[in-house]
Amino acid sequence: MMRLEDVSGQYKTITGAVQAVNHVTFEIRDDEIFGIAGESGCGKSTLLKLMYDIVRFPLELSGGRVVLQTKKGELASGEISKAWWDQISYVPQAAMSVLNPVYRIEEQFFELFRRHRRGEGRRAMRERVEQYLTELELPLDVLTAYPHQLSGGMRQRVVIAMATFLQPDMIFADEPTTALDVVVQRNILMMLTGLQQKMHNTLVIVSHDMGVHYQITNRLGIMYSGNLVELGPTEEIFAHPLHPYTRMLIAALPRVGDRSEREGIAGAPPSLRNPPPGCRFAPRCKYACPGCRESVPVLTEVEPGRFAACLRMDELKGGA
Amino acid sequence: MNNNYKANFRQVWKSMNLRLKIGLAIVLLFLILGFVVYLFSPGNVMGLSNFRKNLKPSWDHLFGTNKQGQDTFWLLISSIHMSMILGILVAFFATAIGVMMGLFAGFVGGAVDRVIMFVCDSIISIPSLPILILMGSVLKGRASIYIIALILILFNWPWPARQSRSMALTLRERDFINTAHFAGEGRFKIIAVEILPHVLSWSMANFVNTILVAIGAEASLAVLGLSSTTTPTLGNMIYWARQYQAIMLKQWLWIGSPVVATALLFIGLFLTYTGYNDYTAAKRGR
Amino acid sequence: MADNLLEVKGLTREFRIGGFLSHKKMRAVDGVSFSLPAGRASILSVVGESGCGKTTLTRMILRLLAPTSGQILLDGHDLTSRRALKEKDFCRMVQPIFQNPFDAFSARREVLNYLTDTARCYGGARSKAQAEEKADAALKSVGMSLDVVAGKYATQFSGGELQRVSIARALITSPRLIIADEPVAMIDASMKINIVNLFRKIRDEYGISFIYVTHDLSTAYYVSDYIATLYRGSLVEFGPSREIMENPAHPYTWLLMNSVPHVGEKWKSGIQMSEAETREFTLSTCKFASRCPYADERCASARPPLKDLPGGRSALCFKPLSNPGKL
Repeated sequence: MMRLEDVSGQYKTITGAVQAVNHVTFEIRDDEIFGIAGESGCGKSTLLKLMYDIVRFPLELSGGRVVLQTKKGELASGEISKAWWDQISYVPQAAMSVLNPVYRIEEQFFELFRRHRRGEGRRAMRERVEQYLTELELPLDVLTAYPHQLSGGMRQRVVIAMATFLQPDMIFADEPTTALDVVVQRNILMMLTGLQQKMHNTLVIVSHDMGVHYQITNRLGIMYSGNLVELGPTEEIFAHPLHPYTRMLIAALPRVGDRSEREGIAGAPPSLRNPPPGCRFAPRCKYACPGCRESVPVLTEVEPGRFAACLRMDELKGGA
Repeated sequence: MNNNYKANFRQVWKSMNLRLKIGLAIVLLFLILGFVVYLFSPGNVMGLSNFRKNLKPSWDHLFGTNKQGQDTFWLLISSIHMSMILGILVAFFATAIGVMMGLFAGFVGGAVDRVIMFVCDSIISIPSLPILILMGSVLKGRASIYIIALILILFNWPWPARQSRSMALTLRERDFINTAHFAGEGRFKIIAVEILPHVLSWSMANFVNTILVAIGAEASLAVLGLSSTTTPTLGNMIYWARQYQAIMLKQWLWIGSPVVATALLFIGLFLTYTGYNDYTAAKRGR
Repeated sequence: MADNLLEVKGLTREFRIGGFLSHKKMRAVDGVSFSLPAGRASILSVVGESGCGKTTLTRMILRLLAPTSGQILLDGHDLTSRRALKEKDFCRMVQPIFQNPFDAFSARREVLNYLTDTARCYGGARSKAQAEEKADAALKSVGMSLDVVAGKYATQFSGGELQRVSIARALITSPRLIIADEPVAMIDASMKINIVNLFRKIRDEYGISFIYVTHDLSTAYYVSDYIATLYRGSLVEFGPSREIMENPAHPYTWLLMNSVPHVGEKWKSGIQMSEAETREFTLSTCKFASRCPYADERCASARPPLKDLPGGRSALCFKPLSNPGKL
């Protein structure tokens, strides 16, 4: 579905370029829900922009390329924008980035029609949209509303409906529920999984919330300070995390019903301008050794489909 | 230590936009003319028949002399000096009073706010120029320059007051004000230490703009002969030049130099004001 | 000392929405009552979705907003009366921690100044040196120190560090109660737990109680002794957290607990959404009835009572749950 080949991205600033994504290589398959996890500053949002090809100044692709393979052919970085809305679509964190505040919702649907399919008569278009909304269990009266008249959760659901309306093969969602309440979040996540199960397409979800990844993703990639540090099936990663960061991150998550003492990770992610030598997680890593600061660990395949970037992962696999 | 200052200055200079640089350069030029070169001026530039009349420019009289027997160059320098003093004085007091009143009204709210705003709105709605003209014609050019300054301050403090009040209103809701409250800071301390710094860069820009307004207002009056005609200001120089029909007499330097100087000073102040606004906006990342 | 450290009785705050001629009254906080016992320090979590009134509630307890009706008693003193408890004494007893640490300090002032100001005013310090000593002691108890903080502005710290500085500042007055409004909302997951552990440590070592307002239920259940759940301004459940976690009595609490994307068991379905948010605020019948799987005609026609349940618990419901299981 999509291949990332040694992708690197940087932001050009007055004081030089800041490398936000470093040499990331992996693939995303058809018919799966893929999660990209990580905390603030890890580069996941930048990676998503590079994948979706929203590369505007000051962001630039400084190395490698992204290749999108759909039923209609292959597109590489720089051309992927041709497939927007039609073969791939994007659900941003803030619904208002997508919705035009001065048009009613139905107009915005019709616009999609006109741009990407042959525009039909208004009545025909309206019927199709209504049918789709009913499938998604959304109330039909949102069509005649303006975006500001809807609640945040409803707006996000409308954006998801728009993003999936033309049945794209791949949908990117950048923190789709972060700004929303817990109950709304569950509903929206279930809506996304329901759509994926029905359409058998690919969903890529970027979120800092590990719980969200656990609940809905099939495979998961963990980012830290611009590098991909672990990759594999979600359940595997949660059951047996290989990279110390993943391990410590999962250990820091409180679970409802369990009040035993948990330990967070001390310190803060390194500055992207002056990253530390060698492994970027070493300054905060419980298991760091002198070798960790000498070279940047490479993402290696430990078992088929299971990758991690840590010098000591073999020794650590057995232990705690 | 020295190196630090040099490096800092260079960095700041680099990050300034062209507009600000040009504006500051012009203003600096006038500051030099009005305060440094002024130090060398002979006294009593306004004295009539100081010198022989209508002399051409020479090394004794750089711009020659005019029909009143004054040295045009030193007259110009003194006029620049006086206009700038007036402008800076009025701008300083109007901005200081306006900002203090505005912040106080915005932060404290309630009856205090309503009273201060009532006063502000009343003054704002009075058109200042007609009043000044009226007053000027009553006093017929005998008003002291300081009375003019006082009245200009009176008419100019409400504008910054209104602006700073609205800034105080938004800042008041921010959490750091609550932190300050729970840290034991009293009302006045909060206004001075928490709110004022956020208003400072805006106040600076406003200060520069008010200099422009003040000089302009006085010049408008002076050209009509309604200012203090015995004090050398740029406007007065134009007034007297017109009275003596300098254009007819082809005394270009006498009428031309104050006009050019006023225009240039205005441009310099305006460029500084807008350039500074752009500069602070860029610093904030816009 | 009174029986209860904090007693909230029938606290209500109304807002007018709409214009001058036609307006509706919206109750952001509607008749909330609960109490925190004195004696042992405890952490109370106030949970609920956005707009449920938790921030309005904290503002009233912090005396930044006046209630429309009801009472708040802090150690027996009536907070609504300025005469009963002077502001200075009040600030000595109650201190806040705000959601956005970068907004809790002015960007133009050195962060240390806030600590030294607090020390001078409420910490008993009489000179700059004494104030700095007190600030240093407070910073050390949160894992930082004077050297790390001196001379720096808010933007030179990370969110987690700055929030610790906020906590240190609040500790300087040796308060009885610290009110933390969404203190970890803007902090990364790996650091949230550090801050929340700090609350526990402070409660145990200094005997300071916390009111921890959050929409993050995982940390709420992890750290608190008591939980209060708010829905559209009403307190729908209150009680010791362990028992609420094992046996939620109000259907909404049960719904919330099951909506947290937790690691362990996967969800199977979505949940009924609420659309009429503003309308629900003005209801005088059960506000949750339209979404409640157990609602009947009584719920939609009368105001539910605050039922007292065993173990110091209470629930605003006609038919509190018992042993509801998973959703």
